[in-house]
Amino acid sequence: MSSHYDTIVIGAGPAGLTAGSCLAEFGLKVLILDEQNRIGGQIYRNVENASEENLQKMGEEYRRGLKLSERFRKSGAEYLGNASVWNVEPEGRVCYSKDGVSERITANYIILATGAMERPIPIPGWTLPGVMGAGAVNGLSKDADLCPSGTVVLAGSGPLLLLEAALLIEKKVKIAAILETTPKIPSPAVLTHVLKALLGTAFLWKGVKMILDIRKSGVPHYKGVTNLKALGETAVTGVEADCGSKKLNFSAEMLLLHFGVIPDSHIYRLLGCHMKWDQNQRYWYPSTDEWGRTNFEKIFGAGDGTGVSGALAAEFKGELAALEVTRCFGIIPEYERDRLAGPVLDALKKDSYPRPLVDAFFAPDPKRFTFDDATVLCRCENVTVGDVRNIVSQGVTDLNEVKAMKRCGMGPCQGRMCGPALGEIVAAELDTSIARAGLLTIRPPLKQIPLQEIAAMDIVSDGVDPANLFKNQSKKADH
Amino acid sequence: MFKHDPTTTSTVEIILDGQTIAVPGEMNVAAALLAIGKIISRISPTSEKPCSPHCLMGVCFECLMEIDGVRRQACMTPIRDGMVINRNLKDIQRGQS
Amino acid sequence: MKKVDIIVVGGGLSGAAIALGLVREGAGKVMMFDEQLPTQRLSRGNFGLTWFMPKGANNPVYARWSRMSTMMWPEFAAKLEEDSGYDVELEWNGGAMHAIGEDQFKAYADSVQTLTKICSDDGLDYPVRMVDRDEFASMIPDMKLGDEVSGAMYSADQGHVNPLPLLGALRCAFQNKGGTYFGGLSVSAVEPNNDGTATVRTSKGNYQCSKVVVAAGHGSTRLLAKLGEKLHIYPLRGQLMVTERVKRVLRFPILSVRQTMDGTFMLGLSTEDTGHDIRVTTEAMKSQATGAIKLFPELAKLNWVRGWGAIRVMTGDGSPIYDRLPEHKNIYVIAGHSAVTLTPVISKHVAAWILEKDEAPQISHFSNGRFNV
Repeated sequence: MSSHYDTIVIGAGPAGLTAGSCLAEFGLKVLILDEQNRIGGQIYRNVENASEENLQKMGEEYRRGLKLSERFRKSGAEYLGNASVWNVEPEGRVCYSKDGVSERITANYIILATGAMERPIPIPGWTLPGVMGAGAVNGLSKDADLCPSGTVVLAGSGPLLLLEAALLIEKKVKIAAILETTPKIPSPAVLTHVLKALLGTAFLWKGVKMILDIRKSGVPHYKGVTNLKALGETAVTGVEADCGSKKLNFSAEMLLLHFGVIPDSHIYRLLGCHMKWDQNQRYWYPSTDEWGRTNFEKIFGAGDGTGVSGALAAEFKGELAALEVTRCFGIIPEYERDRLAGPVLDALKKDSYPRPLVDAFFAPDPKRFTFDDATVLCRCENVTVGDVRNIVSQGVTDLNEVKAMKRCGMGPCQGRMCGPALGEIVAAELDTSIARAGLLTIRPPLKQIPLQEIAAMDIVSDGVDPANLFKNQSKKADH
Repeated sequence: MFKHDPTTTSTVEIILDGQTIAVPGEMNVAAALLAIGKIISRISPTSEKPCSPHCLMGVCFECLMEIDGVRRQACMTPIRDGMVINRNLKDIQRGQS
Repeated sequence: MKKVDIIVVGGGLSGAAIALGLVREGAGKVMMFDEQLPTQRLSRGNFGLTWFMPKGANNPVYARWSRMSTMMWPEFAAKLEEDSGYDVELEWNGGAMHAIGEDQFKAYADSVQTLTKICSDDGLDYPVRMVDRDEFASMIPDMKLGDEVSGAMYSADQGHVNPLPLLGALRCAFQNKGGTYFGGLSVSAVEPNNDGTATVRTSKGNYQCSKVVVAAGHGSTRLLAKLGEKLHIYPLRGQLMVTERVKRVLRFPILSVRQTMDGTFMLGLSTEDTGHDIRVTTEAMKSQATGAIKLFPELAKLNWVRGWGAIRVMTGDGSPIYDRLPEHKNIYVIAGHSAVTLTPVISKHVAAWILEKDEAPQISHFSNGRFNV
């Protein structure tokens, strides 16, 4: 382990693996830090150790991860798994914790490839044991061959919800119902995208097949569902919802929620990157140039963390960021970067054809989020939606002020689970835009670490004086 | 809540809440406990209600457990033979004790 | 243009304390304007101590002022809870400054002696004493002291609160008592009128009032500059860190380590001359974590959950500024750090002075002009 690298890449999913491989292939000294102990990110979780059966079930998309991992292993890039990054500074410093030891290392460039997370939408009962993200169950299956054994309800919206449903059906999991919050009839906005999407027919065909599989299974499938609620006292026992005038009620041991994915933006916000609000997809993403460069010269972003566009696009964006960093080092001239980037840009463009359709079809509709006053919004600090509305009624207009007054977003997760909905709720209460309501400020540590770890760090604490409360006496007042 | 084919992985022994217990190895702590039906991860210090892992990708912090003396995210910690894990299920971590 | 009696510019602790004091004293129609800028929200950076112990050698007026305020705290908190429904989490179990090694113990003992003498010369008692290691250990039976801890400077007559609900409580009580609070609004100018009133220009319209209190922290500078007044404050960063929640084991605050009512340990406090850079630095976090572990080794395994920096409003002698502009007597300015400790005196005595009901003898010592050279 060295303490300085040409480039540090954070995240070993498709974007990070590709960026790291590309840079190392040019002879640059690269380190990839990843929080998991195996490469692949969420989409290619554990792909290197996957059984042939799992590779089959997860399909061609998953198998592609093997190609990436092979390239990466050959590239000579260094890799450190189970390394949890807890601070990044624009000057190129990175602090991470691994096996109970924290280190600070530096790099000339940093590529953030932190990926996406499931959009957390608070519903009544979502804190009950047995309510999980659909992506969580997908990850458990890839990582540990775990498969739900009881009755399951899947609820929410987005292609990954249906994908997970299809997978669970294939695994013969007992599914009581699929409850889609997506409306039954596509909006005109959706139809305008259809033509463009037809250019990416392989993608569409996969979607159609998935829906046919679900239909064939006979699992009850409702659309336009509202008022989702997990029932139970100490664990989930059932799920309730409305579908039009119909009241739905299912017994279940698990409720798997999925409301699409959003960029995991904490690391960008910690750095102070300029953030933009996507009004259609309703998420914040960092502002970057065509190569992924943020407003900080040394900090690049790649993959779904910069805006959700899927695993293939993430791979292409990782390559593009790496090519530009290589040019910045003076390893290749600009015209060579452009020549190498050409086919990648073409592939990226082709991959993006069906996306507007998918995005429009599953676009989150804030009117469909009901957010009852009694629902727990901040799981860590047990703050309800009503608590937040109450403090807004006392004149609070900024998310960070809500946090200061109500502790919403102050717990261990640092607002990862409540932040997106908090923005929606405060903006709606104030009848203002989300952009105006602001974002929760993120500061170190990104992930908690024991005090002993930071105390033991090999850094010099010069220039930091403990507060001298006797200071009030050090100078005589002139009066 | 989950089924796991025990032939696919090795087994390790850990001390969970004071009891020696065998769990599947080669996975993270959260997954290993789910595999043996231990779905409760902790008692929330604020609501005082039981929690279970929610995201399994390091985001939700619902799987915080005392692992070898330090509270860590179980989903981000690989299980190891001899690990001492306390979920402190009876111990309400309230300010006013 | 809307007309009111008094406008308070700034909705932090100082502004909210004065605004509440004004409505309690029957000031008429009072408005408080607050930008709610997270970077300028210094209640976040306050450690929450309500104490006087190290304050005021060479400055007996400030020593007395801090002491007066500290003594007012228990009653003030009770009344505030009644008026707002907020629990500000006041605990009145004393407070200590621990010493590491014999030299520091001696230095603290000398300070106690000096401050006792200064206070007694001014007719004030100074209820602070040195406790040796054994006595200090016996005061904290649920925790084990680090080997290097030699004892502490201790007073039973002080405590701690949670500054965030304190701010919420002041704001809420102010509104319950008839005040009007506007959040998310920026004041760009305070302009005196010929008829003795003032106009306050905001991002949401202009207001006319009889008196203006500028209590906008570092935001006050620009407002006073336009009036030809230089405000003698400067930024001084402090960084704080907080741990996960654990069982309550520490019942009174120690300078740089306190356990809040909800079980988290709060660790402070740095002093850094870094201008308006609000960042959290790994260096400060290391230094603070190291200091806390030296005091209580068992904190080593606790997780650090959050860290943040805040920019103090510091003055040359560390004591606050309360003044009215020489040319515009209806424009007042309040500035300074330690707003938690000083909340009761600001709310009572500074408010009474602004309303020209009563002037505490200390107030004239806290002029902005004292820094003019």
